Amino acid sequence: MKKNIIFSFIFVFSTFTQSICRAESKADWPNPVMDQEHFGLLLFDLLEYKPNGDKSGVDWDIVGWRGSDKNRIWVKSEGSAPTVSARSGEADLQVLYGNLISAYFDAQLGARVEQTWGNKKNASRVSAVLGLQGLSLYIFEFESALFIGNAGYIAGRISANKDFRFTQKAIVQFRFETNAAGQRSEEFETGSGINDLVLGLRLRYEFKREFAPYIGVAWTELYGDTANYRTLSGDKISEWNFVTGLRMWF
Amino acid sequence: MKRQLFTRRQFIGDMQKLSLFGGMVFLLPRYVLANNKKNTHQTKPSNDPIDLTIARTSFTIDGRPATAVTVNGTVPGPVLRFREGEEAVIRVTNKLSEPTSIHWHGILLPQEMDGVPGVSFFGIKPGETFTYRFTFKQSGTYWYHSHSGGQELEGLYGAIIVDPVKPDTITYDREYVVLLSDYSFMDPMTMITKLKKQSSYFNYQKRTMSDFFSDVKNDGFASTFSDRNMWGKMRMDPTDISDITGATYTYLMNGLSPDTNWTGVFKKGERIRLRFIGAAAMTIFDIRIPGLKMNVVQADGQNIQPVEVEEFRIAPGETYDIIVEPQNENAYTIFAETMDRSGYALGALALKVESKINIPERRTRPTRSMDDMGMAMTMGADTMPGMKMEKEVSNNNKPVKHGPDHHGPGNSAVPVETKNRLSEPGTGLENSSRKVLVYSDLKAIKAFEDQRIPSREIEMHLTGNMERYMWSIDGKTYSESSDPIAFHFGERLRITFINDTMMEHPMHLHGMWMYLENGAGAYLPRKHTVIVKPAERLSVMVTADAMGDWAFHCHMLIHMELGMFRVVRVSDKKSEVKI
Repeated sequence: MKKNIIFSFIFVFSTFTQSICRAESKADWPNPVMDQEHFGLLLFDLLEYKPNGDKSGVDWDIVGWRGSDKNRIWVKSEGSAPTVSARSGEADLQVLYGNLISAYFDAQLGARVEQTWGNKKNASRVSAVLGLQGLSLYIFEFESALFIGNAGYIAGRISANKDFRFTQKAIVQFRFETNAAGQRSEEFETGSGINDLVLGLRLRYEFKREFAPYIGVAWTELYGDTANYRTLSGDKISEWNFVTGLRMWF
Repeated sequence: MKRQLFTRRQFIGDMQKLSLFGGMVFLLPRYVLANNKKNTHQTKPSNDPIDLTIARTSFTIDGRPATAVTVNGTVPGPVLRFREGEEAVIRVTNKLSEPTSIHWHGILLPQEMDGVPGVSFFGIKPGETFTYRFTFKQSGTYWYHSHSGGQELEGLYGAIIVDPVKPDTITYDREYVVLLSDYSFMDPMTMITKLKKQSSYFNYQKRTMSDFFSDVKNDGFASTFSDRNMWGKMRMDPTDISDITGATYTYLMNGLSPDTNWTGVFKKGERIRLRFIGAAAMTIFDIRIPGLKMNVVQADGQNIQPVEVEEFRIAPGETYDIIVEPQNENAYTIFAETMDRSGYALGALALKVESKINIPERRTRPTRSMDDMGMAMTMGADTMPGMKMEKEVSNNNKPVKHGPDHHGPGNSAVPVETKNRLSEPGTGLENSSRKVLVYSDLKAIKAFEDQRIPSREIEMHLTGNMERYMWSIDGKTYSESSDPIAFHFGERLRITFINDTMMEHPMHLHGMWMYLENGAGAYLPRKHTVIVKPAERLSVMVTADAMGDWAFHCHMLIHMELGMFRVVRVSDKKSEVKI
């Protein structure tokens, strides 16, 4: 009799625990779709060699992001490094938070570090960045930024590019960039007002979407005191350059 | 077991005679064999449980290793055949290293048997077996597929045939399942990642400079310029037809690639029933059989008043049954061209297995039109969406202006106006000289019981941002949306889809029929999957006769995974009215 009671108790208890273990609570159920994944991109939009005698160098424009559709961390770097040691180089790095504020535009907020080197000068500068980036009317990849730093430093940059297709894989990219500043900078040898205007045409061949070697031309014109600084160091204020490079992304 | 379940050993021998899609041969179920003499509709129903094993199976094509998610070792999985009224007991065993599921597409069943992880159950964990048990309340052609992540894109799908308990009103001498799908060597997550980085990644049919010059030559500079100007202003691409194209996809008919065409063998004078199943993940097909008229007798498993056509469009999720009666001894090509014309699936009807079949002349890729943008402005558009009397029949053709809500950054644009496009064959078929099936051709064979006027209307905007490759409903992904959509048990309601995007969205409601308001009066056809065209305003009626939670989503599977998904909750509570 006692045995029976013990057995029935064990039976009841085991069914009870089993039913607890089996019933997964709805709260444990997975999301039915994977709409919260994060993605990322690292794009070497420009990575090119500019053969130009003792002014030869490597230029780059790299942009990367990681995050959701609406909230992303952006990392950007632009710069040029001389391949002839006597020349000076310059580079910047931006780290930004971006929020999708309209279907086509990200508002960005973050910081920028700039550095110049070589040619007996070595300067760096840190500024805050306010940016707007996206796809503009007429399908231009548009990027603009306002840089605000110490002692009333203020500068801006606007760039845009657009693709024209010869074929599905041979694509010409038109590029435009201009920089402006609120005041002169001895260290960076830039003037106030519009500093420069850069236009480029690059023909790439997309062996894969992710891998496209290119050739092209870039035209640079300097203005105001920026032009004056360069004239002092014996440079031209307006020049054409042949470029060859690789556009790739991961 | 007497159903159409074949072991791998049984078909390997037969298949090796054919020149096939490389190693994919081993992934083929037996029923795709042309010389399969068993007329599948003669199989005797039985109540034996069916065992399905889901596993990742490796194969190589030209030395290139690949894998597919298989059911009992094959892609597509075995045809499951039942009889109306029969209870199905299906034991699904998961041999994958991730959870899986099988959803019985278009079948009315208890919600816990519907097979959607996170909505109807947890899913089937690795190594576990889940027993599905439900009774068929319907007959017709249906299909099954995984509802877990990218598994359907990797091959987890198959056909379901439910024979009517009364003698079939559709008569035929021979029948074949024609299951259309798309296969890529790229794994689904990689495809999604590429699209997120560059939404036009797979489109190699964009307009080029030479298109510009030829358009100038044909239409004049002013017209070409204004066309480019318009698209530029809208930041849209008129060649945006399919997100994923023949650039990566191989299109399969019954698991066979176009190089290894599937052949359905017939005898002269036979009436052949072809059960077409749109099992592709991301591809809409246009199907024709040059030389044969196709008599469409069933849509989404439901018999319709026969319509004779020369071509029809099938979207992911849909099924169409057709009858053909070849009078000659020719080999007839079954040509399933993708909507963007970047590829095709191919098969044949012939007296014997044909090694080579004619490929019909290919068409050029279409472009989106002003109608697709909702910009073909008509005078007198209804300016007050949602202000219509609810009892008004909403199958009129009058364009309706879009409301003030543009659904946020998740939606790139809104059409100026939307209208029903039920009588239009759709992008790429507009100027066809052939008779193409349109939704307004579909009429139920008999009037369905519930002829109530809907007591309320739910408006759903299908939204997306092609630049960012975002897909949503009313501008919100599933995770961003709040409560399930509330249906009240027993009610008759109207769902009005408004497609704010430039792409087709085959919307699929689980567990309940959608009665397509296509002007057929008492004979509205009922469907489980309804294509909503770009800038279309389309209504369906639903009788909320199935309690519980049901998935409701776009059947372009990547659109669904990225958020074009909702849960419908049918409950008794009358208090939670949400319109």
